[in-house]
Order: sequence, then structure tokens, then C-alpha cells
Amino acid sequence: VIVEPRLEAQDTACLTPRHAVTEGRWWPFVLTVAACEAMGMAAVVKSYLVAQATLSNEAEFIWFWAGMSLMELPLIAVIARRRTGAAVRSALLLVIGFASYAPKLLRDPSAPIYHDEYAHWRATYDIVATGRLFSPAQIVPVIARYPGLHAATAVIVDVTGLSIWQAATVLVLLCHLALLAGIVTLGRAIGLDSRAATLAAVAYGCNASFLYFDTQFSYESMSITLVVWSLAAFAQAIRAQSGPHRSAWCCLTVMLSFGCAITHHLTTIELTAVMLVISVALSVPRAARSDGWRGTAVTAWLLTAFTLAAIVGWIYFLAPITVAYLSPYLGTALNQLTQMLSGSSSGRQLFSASLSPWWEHIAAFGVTLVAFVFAAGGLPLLLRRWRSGRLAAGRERALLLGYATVGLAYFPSTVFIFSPAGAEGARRSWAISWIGLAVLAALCAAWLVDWASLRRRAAARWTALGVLTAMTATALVGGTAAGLDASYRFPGPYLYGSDARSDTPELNAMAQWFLARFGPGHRMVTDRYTGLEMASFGLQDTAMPSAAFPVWDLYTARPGQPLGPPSLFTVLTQGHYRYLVVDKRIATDVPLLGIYFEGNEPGDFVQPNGQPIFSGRLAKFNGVLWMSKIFESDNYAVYRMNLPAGSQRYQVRPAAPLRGKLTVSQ
Amino acid sequence: VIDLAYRLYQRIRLGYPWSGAWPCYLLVAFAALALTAVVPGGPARAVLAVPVLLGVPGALTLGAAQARRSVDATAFGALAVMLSALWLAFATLILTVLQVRISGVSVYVCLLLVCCVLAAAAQRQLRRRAAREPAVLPAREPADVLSVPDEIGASARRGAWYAVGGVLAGVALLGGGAVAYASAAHQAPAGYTWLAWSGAKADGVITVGAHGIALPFEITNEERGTTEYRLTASWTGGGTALALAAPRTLRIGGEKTVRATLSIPQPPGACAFRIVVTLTELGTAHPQSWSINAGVRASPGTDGPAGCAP
Repeated sequence: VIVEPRLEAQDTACLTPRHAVTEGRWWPFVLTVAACEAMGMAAVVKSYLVAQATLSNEAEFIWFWAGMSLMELPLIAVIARRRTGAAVRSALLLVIGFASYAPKLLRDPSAPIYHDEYAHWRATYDIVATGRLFSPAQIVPVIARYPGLHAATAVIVDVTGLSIWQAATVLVLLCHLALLAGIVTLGRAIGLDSRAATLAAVAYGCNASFLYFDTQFSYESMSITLVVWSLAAFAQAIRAQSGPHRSAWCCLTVMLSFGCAITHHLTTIELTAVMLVISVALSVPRAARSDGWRGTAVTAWLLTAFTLAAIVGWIYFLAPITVAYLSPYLGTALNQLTQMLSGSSSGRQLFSASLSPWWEHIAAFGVTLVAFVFAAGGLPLLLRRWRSGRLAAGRERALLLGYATVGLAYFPSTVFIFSPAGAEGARRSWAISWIGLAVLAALCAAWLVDWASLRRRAAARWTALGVLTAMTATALVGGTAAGLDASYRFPGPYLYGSDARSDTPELNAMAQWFLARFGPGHRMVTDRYTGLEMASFGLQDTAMPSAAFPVWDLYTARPGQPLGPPSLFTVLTQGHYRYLVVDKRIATDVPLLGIYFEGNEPGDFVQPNGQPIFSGRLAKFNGVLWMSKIFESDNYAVYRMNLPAGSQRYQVRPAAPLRGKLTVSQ
Repeated sequence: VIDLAYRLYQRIRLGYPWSGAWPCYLLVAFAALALTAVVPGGPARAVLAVPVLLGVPGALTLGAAQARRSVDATAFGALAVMLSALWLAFATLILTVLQVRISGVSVYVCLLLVCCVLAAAAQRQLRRRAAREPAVLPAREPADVLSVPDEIGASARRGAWYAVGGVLAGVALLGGGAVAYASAAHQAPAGYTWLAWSGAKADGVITVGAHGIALPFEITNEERGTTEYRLTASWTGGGTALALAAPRTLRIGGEKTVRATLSIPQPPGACAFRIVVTLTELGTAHPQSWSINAGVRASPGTDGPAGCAP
């Protein structure tokens, strides 16, 4: 699909080489772009340095977006030019890939800080240490059954001698770059020219997951790239004439989709859904009828069936835990939406605990509007070509319609953002639906750029281009703002109850002290944020609290009352839980994420007066006779639980004088 | 010697040109990965090993699948990386099925075998293509992405160099940002103090023999400056704390660890005693304190006063 507005003879004047960057004058242009890149990176670095000092500061956001805009907008402008060559576009897209990885790299250059990163770090460590896959995983148990990412990382560690985090950074960076290249290849395979395909990749970069979530060391970061490449190979297989080329791309589709199945559950399910939509489109005669269309449809259905079989087979035989892991989200989300619609629940208040400034919130809402404008612009372009006969029935038409359908699924999915349980799922689905949306947006954007460039009056031309730039900037800012909160995106002081700002030198020291003192693999009870560190760098096995294993009952018991129900002690004793690690701030602070232990904890831990229920209830552990406090720092205390309790009796009355001696060796 | 090396080079170059023997060259490159073991592990070895490890298996897969010419240079590189990463994961799965321990060596051997098969298949495809196919691909194939009539710019060969240029520019940009951030002044982390048992005996209820016992512990001051503390030891019973040892005052410098010991005689009777060591900060308006505790009891068979509580 070569996107171009109707060119009149006089309009084409502005496309003549006198307006182009000519051969002899290329270097000032390159230097200007290079200066923008350098200044942009400096601004991003500045934003992170500003962020370190304060909890949240508007200056950090301004510096950050100024930097990102400086780095990305000039490159996008060059990509959008009609005269830019395909190879140059690819090279510039790679630079955008590197630039868009900078925020995450600078956020945690030396160690994991996101929730899932801790889990994958530990899973990788276990493979390196034991030489085996499928060891029980800490923090997120389901990842043990999807070893794609951490197995690859472990091999890089083994072969290169890099640390786990260095190897992970290299692998995720390569996946991030390959993701953009995959979108371009997919765009080309479904019929876009190189400009529209590269613009599709740029548009995809505005989705909520792109800048931070899909650059973290997590299985989804690798699998989303595999999904895109699976779809690209799938499209190539469909577009290829039957014969060796089709077989080749079918083989690659099979390999990539199986790779996806062993890497991540949800994205593979979403991949299957997209392939299903495409297969349906390829089976509709009105869209797909052309030479050999039945054979193409059969190929598509077979590949879809294979992908479905791969993920179903993997779940059934190797990862049955996936069903229990995923099903509550969808069920609860639908239930909450129903309650919202019936008026019995008010739903989720967006940005209620956000640290980001108001204009990011507006941009986050604005991105849906911008996406709608671009999608609404892209669809008529497709339909016009269909009606005019320039998009004849066949594989290309079916593929474009299929991806347009996938893209339009983004808009109904935004409703789930109002449901507490559905918000996370909705956000994750955008990484997929934006593939289709990016195709539509690219069609519209390429057309708009040409349309704006053809305005005869300079004021009209620059106004149109300015509006386009503003819309791109809004999508860039809003897409990221709709994804992750500022506590994940920016460094800063300690923030209780935030996954990404809970790691402190004190917690690190405690975890390392415990590891050095007792060794790895001890079962312990602790809160979510302490558990991240203990289960990863501390190499311990932390409890997974649930309604059947309510470890929070240890904390909520009032002083003088017996701890927990007997069933809890049965589980603790039989499970060989020997340690309790207490973060004392649990008694004074309300967590940013609203969770102390796990998402399934009771909702009344914060009392109406704003105080945590644990206030005044932690000192009791010092008097529990079956516990020994073996460590205390400013904010943490470690207790050894001598279970089963009650077998030892203690002296309670003054006895004969007991005299000891304190000796200190400085 | 130079002449001999030159002639050998020319003979290989002319006899086995890159375009006709690249799978074999890539296989040799992968086999040579073993040589990187002589380089110390870390970034230096990674610079040599990562391009091979995350490039060769995927590139050979594309060659074996006859898909090499269907995509441009950037896409080829990206797809090769993803396929290579998948091969790493698949190799670990194969080793798991074969019940072989996953290690650098076992994965290398497994991947070398895979690469041999892939290289043989890719080489065969090259020969078949050279024998059968004309250089020009059908016009409506996606393979024509490099020669779409409206495209202006580099040729396929130059396209690869543009991609390399993009990668180098990106690495410079990202590396520059990382170095600038690392070398900037960062906020100093908050200091802290901790107190912990350090001996192997301080777990559970400790049995004390007739000669008593010494319980070691350590105090670490991770504040910036010197801090003054009071160290006390007591035993608790009946809701009160009873002095166990004479208190000590100590000054601990910043980022220093001090080792200490609480020596106690054998407790009287059959009951356990809850002993507590407390460290209190001195010289501040709101002094913070830290404590550790343990249960101690005389060795079995010792009699004494009643008054035990569960």
C-alpha cells in the first residue's frame, strides 16, 4: 500500500530535489540530528538526577520528556519524509530503539528493581547454579514453567561470564531492537511501503508497555518480540507463493510461535487470537478471494492450529499452574465491570495514587483520542482503496483488514482500565492490539505528512506539521503515562509499598547477612517488598500468602492475644517455615500500591483513620517465647520461629541472680 | 611466510567466496566460540562471544529455511538474534530431556551440533539455488522489499552498512548516557545500624553447660560518622527486664563492624530464660534502640525453682 494523497502537478513542486537534503549538504543535517540526540540524552540523564533528590518533582518530568522528544521527534521527522531511503529509515529506527531503551537502562543500570525482574533474576540464578530447568520459582511461581527468557539468559551467563544482570540487559536490549524491526517487517509483509512500515514501528513505540514494561527483565519482554516476529513470519508465509518460500516461512512461524509458547503464556494466547482473526479474514471470500486463496487460508488455519496446540499442550503437560494463575484476573475483571455497570461499585479511580503531573494524566487520556483520530483516518484510506479497486481482493486485503480489526480491539479494551482486576490485563493487551493500531495509524500518518507537505502556503504547511508533531508528542507522553507510575519510571528516595523504590542498602545488607549466616533456601514469612529482595539476592524461599495461608494473621494479632489460627501454624510447621522478617514500617506507612503482602490479602489493613492495622502490633513478636529475634536494624527485624510452639517452658519469676558479661572487641 | 599466508587467503577467498560458502564460515565462527574461553569472563569475553552466540544459530536457521533473501539487512539481523535466543532456550530444553546438566560446555556442544545440521542444510539450499534459480525473484513476493519501485536509497549491500551505522550510533548514544549517569554525583543512601547474633549457637533455645556459654554478636554502624551507643544485656521474666551484665558504652566509627560477646553462666533450674541484648543510640533527642534475644536453658537434668511458663 503506497500511501499518498492525490498529487496535483503544481503540488509535486515541493517534492523536487531543491527542497531535499542534497548530496553536498548532508553533513549539517546529520550534525543537527546528532546534536539533538546528544542533548536529548543529556536531558534524560538530568531528569533522573533531579528525580533522585525528591519524592516527585515536575522538573524531572519536564526534563525527561524534553529529552525524549529531542531524541525521537527529529528522527521520526526524517523517517516520515518521502525521500528518505528505506535503509536510512531502518538505521534511524535502530537509533530510536536504542534511545527508547535509555530510560529503562538508566533506571536500573546495575540490578533489578521491578517486581518481575527479581523473580526472573532468581530463576536465572537457579538455572546457572543447578544446571536444571523447571526448579520451583520464587515470587512468581508460574515463571518456572516458562523458561524461555531465563534459560537463554543463563546460557549467556555461562558462556560469557557476564553477571546475570549484564546478560539480561544485553538480551532485553536486543529483543527491544528486534521488536521494532519486527514491526517494520510485519508492515512490509502486509503490504505497507517502507515509510509506512517504519512509521508503524514508531507508532507502536507509543503504546503503554513499550518504554518501560516491555524493556524490563521479564518473560513478556522477550515474548512480545517473538509474537511480532511470529506474526511477521505468518504474514510472509501467507504472502509467499506456495512452494519453498511458503514452506520456509511456515517453518519459521512454527519455530517462533513454539518459542513464544515456552516463554510466556498470555502473549502466546494473544498471538493465537491474532492469528485466528487473520485466518478468519483470509477465509472470507469477499476479502481474500484470489488465485490460490483456499490454499492460503488452509496454511493460515494450520499455523494457527499449531500455535494453539503448542500453548494448550505446554499448559496441559508442563504448566497446569497457568490456569489458576490467569483465570482469576479475567473472572474478577468481568465481575467488577458488571458491578460498575449495575452501579453497585464505583470502579477504579485512575491516577489516584499517581506521582506524575496533571499534564501527563491528560496526555494519558489524550493518547486514546489520538489513537482514535489516526485509526479513524486510516480506515477510510483502506476503504477508499478497496472501493477504487487499488486494494484488490486477496491476501493483502485480508491481512490489512485482519490487522485493522486487531487494532480496533484497543478501544473496547480501554473500558477494562476502570476495573481494578482488569486494568493490568487491559494494559498488557495493548502491546498486541497496538500492532494493528500502528498499521492503521501509519497509513493515516503517512498520508497526513504528505498532505501537510503539499500545502502551498507555508503557514498552512507548518501548522499542519505542527499539529502532527503535537499529536505524536501527546501519544509518546500519554502512552507511557498510561503504562507505569512515576515510582517505576524515575529513581528517587525510598517509598514504602512501591516495588521499584523499596530496595535500600539496609535491605540489601540484611539479605546478605542472612545469606552469609544461614545459607540459601530457608523458608520464611515476610511482606511483599522485603520478600522481593530476600527471594532474589537473599536466595531464600519466601511464603506465598493466600486465603489458605494467611500469614498476615501473624501480624494482625493484638498484643496479648494468641498468634494466628491453629491451621496457620500447621502449615508453617509442616512447611518448615523457620524465619519471620518484619519491616517495621508496615506499622506506620500505607503502601503506595495498596498491598502489604499479596493482591489477595483482606482489604481492611488500612483503617478508616488512615493508620495501618499493624500499628502497635509488631512489638509483640519480641515477647513470643517460641521466637528469637536474631537481627535488628533501623527498619527490619528477623525472628527465628522455633516451631512447633509450646514445647519449651520459660522462667517467669525472679530466680537466683543470673550474672553475665559483655565483652566488646573493637 | 607472509607470501604463503597471502596466497592461502587468496585461495580461500576465490575458491570459497562468502556468497557461496557463508554457512560454513558461520559454522567455523561458532566452533571458534570455544576459543573465547581463554579470555577472562566478563565484558571482554562477551564482546567476542555474544555476536556469535546470538547471531550464528539464527542466521544459519534463516539460511537453512531459505528465508535469508526475503528480508532486508536489519530484519535479517533482528530475526537472526531472536532465532538464536530461541536456540539457546531450545538447547537447554534438549539437555533437560537428555538429563544433561546445563552448563556453558554442554550448551556449546549441543548448539554446535545444531549449527552443523543447519549449516549443512543452508549450504545445500545455496547449492540448489545456484543451480536452479535465477537471481531475480518473482515480482509479487515479499522478497522484493529491497527493490520496491518507489523506494529511494541504498542498495541491499549498502543497507547492511546503514544498519551497522545505526547500531553504532545507538550504542554510542546509549553508552554515552549510561556513562554520564554513572559518573554524575548521586544521592548518598540513608545510613543505618544493625545488631545481630553471629555465632552458630544463637538459634532456638540454647543449652548451656556447667561452664556457661559465650554468645557472639556483631554491631554494624553504616552511618557516615562515628556514633556512640550503650550496650546492655538483660533477661526478662514476669513482665520485667532484669540486668544480666554491666552495661557498656562504645563508640563505633562510620561503616565499621564491631564484634562482641555475651558470656553467661549456666542458668538455674529447668526453665529457659529469655535473654535480651539491647543497643541504644546516645546523644540524640529521640534515641533509637535495637535488640536481639534468645532463649537459654541449662542442660537437661538440672533441677531448680518452679515458675516456668509455656
